[in-house]
Amino acid sequence: MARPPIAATFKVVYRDKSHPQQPMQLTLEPPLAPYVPPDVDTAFGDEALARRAKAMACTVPLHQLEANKGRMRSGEFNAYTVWGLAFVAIDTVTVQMDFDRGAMHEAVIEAVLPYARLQAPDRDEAEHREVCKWVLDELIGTSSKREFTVEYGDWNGEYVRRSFGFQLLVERQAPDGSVYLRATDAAINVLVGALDTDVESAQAAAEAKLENLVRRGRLSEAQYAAQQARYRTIQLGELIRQDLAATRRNLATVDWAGAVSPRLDGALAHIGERLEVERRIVDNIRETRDRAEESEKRAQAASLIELLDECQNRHMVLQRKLMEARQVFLAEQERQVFAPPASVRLRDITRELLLPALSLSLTDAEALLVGFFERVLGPRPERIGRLATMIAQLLTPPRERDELGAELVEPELRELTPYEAFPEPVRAAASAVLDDVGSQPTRLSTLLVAALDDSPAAAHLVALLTLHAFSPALESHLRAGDETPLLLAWSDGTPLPPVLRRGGDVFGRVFVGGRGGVALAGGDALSFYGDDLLIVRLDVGAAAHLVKEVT
Amino acid sequence: MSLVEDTGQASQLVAYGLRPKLRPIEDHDYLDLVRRYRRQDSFARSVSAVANGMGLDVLDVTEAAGAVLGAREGSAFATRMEDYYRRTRERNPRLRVLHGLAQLAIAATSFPRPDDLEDAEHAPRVAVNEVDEYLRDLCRRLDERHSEEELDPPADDPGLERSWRMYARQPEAAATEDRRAWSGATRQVITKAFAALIEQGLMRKVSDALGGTYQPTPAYRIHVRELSREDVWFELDHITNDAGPPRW
Repeated sequence: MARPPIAATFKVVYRDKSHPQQPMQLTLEPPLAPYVPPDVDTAFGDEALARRAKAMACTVPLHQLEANKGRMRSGEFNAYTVWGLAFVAIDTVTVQMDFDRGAMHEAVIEAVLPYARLQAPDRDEAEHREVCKWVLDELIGTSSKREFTVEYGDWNGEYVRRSFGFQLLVERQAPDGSVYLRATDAAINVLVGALDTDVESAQAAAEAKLENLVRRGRLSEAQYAAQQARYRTIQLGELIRQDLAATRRNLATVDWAGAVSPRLDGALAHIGERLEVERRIVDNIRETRDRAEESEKRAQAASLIELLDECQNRHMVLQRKLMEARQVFLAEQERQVFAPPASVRLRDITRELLLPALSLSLTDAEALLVGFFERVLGPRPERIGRLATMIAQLLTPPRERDELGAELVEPELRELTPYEAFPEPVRAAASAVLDDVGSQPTRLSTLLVAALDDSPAAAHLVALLTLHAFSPALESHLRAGDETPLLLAWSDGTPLPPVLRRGGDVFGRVFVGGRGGVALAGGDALSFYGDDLLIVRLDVGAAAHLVKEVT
Repeated sequence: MSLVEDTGQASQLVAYGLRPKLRPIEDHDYLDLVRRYRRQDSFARSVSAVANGMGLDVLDVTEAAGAVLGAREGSAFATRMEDYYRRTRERNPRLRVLHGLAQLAIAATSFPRPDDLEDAEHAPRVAVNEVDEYLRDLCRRLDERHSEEELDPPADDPGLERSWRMYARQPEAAATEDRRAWSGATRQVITKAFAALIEQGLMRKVSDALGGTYQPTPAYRIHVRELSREDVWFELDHITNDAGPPRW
C-alpha cells in the first residue's frame, strides 16, 4: 500500500469581503484526497500529525492578522508587518509574567510602539498607537469572543475533524481590580518553538546549545538560546506557583506525595544544577567577550551576560519558593487535616461533585449543574396577585420621596437637674476663699477659718478641694496640655490647731485621708483634725517640680 | 391548643421559611415558633406535613438560620435557572454549565472538607477571585490527568466538549475602559452567583477585597449539607461509576 507523505499540508482560507462565498473559518486539513491510514507497525507519525496541526493552529491568529491588515483603515495598515508586532507583544507579556502578575495593556502597547515607528516612520504617532492596539486586541481575541477556534484533522484511528479552541493572551484581574495580561502555555510554546516537550529537558537542551554556540563564538544565536532558557524558567515557576496555591486552598486535591513532592525535588535539584551551569556559561562568555575583537561581538556578549544574570535571578527566586514549599505543606496539613470527623457521611464537594462535573461533557454536566444551582438557592416563592389589592395599590398616589429622608419628629426634651452635693452659693464662697491662695504657701487652717465665716458647708468644700490638691493628678494636666495654674497641697507635719475641733462634741462619719488626712463630720457639728496642710497655686510645670522635691 | 390553631402556627413557620432573608432574631413570633419546633415533636411533625403538602421539605430549623426549606421537584416554589438568567432560557449548555459550575465551586470553596458542613461555627470568607482560581486550578489538574487523551470535541457536536475545557477557555475578566464588557467572563459569572445567593439570604457581602468577599449565612451551610449527602445525586453516582472514581 502506498504510504502518503507524513508531512502535513494546510490550507489557510480567509474570508474576504469581496468574496463573501468563501468560508470564514481557517481550516487546517490535508489538501486533496482522503488520508489512507498507514499500516499499524509503521504508524509512527499519526499522533504527531494532530499535535503538529494543533501547534500550527496556534500561529493562525498571526496569519489572520497579516491577512486582515489590508482591510483595516482602507489599507493604511499595509505599511506594517503586523505579525512582527504581534511577536513583540507576546514577548513583552511573557517576560513580564512572574509569580503573580503579567503586563498591563498600556505597557504592552508602549513596548510595541517603537517597532511600529520603525516600520512606518512617515506615519503619525496616533496611527502607530492604533495599529499596536489593534494587534493587541486581536491577540486577545476581542473580535472573536476571546478565543480562537481552528479545525484540524485527527488521523488517530478513525479520521475525525476536531475543533481546537485556544487563546494566546488572556486577561486576568489583579487584587486591586485592574486587568492585566498573561500569555497562555500555547503562546509560550509557539513562541519558543519547542512544542510538546518536557520543560526541564528542553531547558537543559537550550543551555547545552548555548554553551556550544558560545564556544564557537556565534553570539547572536547564543542570545536567542538564552532567551529561550528564560521562557522555560518562567513556565516552570508558574507550575510550582499553581501547586502551592492549590495546597493552600485544599490539601485533598493535591497529590503531594505522588506528584508535587517529586516535582519539587526535581525542580530544586534542577535549579541548583542550572545555577551552576549558567555561572559556567557566564564565565565562558566573559572570556569570549574579552577575546572578541569586533566591537559588535563584544556588545553582543555584554548583553548576553546581562540576560544570563537575569536568568540567574529568576532561578534564585524560584529556588526560594521551592524551599518554602514544604513549610506551606506542613502548615496546611496541620490546619486542614487534623480536625474532628463528621458524624454523617457527606460528600467531599470538590472531589465527589465538582471534579466529576468538570470531567463530564457539556451535555452530560448540564442537568447535574443546573440541578445543583436550582436546589442550593432554596425555594423561590412566586408573588400571587389579587385583583382587589392590586386595584387599591394602583389607585394609591405614588408616595413622594423626600431626598432628605423621613421627616424628623421633634424629640421631647426634659431638663436634667444635676445632683449637686453643694449648692451654688456654697461653691461660690469656697472658690472665693481658695482664690486668695497665691504662689506663697497658705495654711489650711487659715482657709478653713475664712470659710467658716461663710458657712460650715463652705469650709467642708474647702477641705475637700484641699484634699484634692494634695494629689492633683498632675499627669493628666500635663498630658492634656492644660496650662492653667493649679492648687497644690503638701504636709510639713504640723497638725491642725485644736480650735478647729470646736463643736466637735459629736463626731459623725469620719473620713481619714492618708498622712495629710482631713476629717470632717456631717451637718453643723463640724470638726477638722489632721495635718495643717500648706497650699500654693502654681503652674503645672512648677507644680510637678515641687511634687518631686517634696516626695 | 386546638388542631386548627396548631395548623395555623405550623403554616406560619413554613411561611417564615419562605422569606429566607428574615432571621428569627429579627422577629419574636418567628423565634417562638422555631423554639416550639425544636421543643415539641408533634408540632415539628405538623410543620413537616404542611411543608410537604406545599411541595417543600424542611431541611432544618435552627435559631440562627430559621426554617430552612427545600423545594421538591415540580413544586410551585422550585427555583429555575431561567428566573435568574434570562439568557439561559436559550438552552445553551455552555452558559448553563458555566452558571452551575460557579455555584458548585462557591460551595466547594466555602466548605472544603465534609466536616466543615457539620460545623455550625464554620463561617469562612469566600472571594470571587478565589473561586475562579480554584476552578482554574482544577481545570489545570484535569488537563494534566487527561494529557494522554483526545479532548477536542468533534466539530459537529460541540456539546461533547468536556466542561473543564470550556471553563478554562473563558476569560476570567474583560478590560473595562473602552473595551466592550464581556458578560461571559468567569469572574462576572461568579459575581452574579454571589448576588443570587445574597438575594436568597444565603450570603452576605463582607468587603470589595479580591473581587468581592462574602460570608455564608447559617442557612447556606444547611442547603449545601443537604446537597452533599451521599443519598442525593444518584445520577451522579451512575456517571462517576462509569468513568471510575476520580483519584488524585
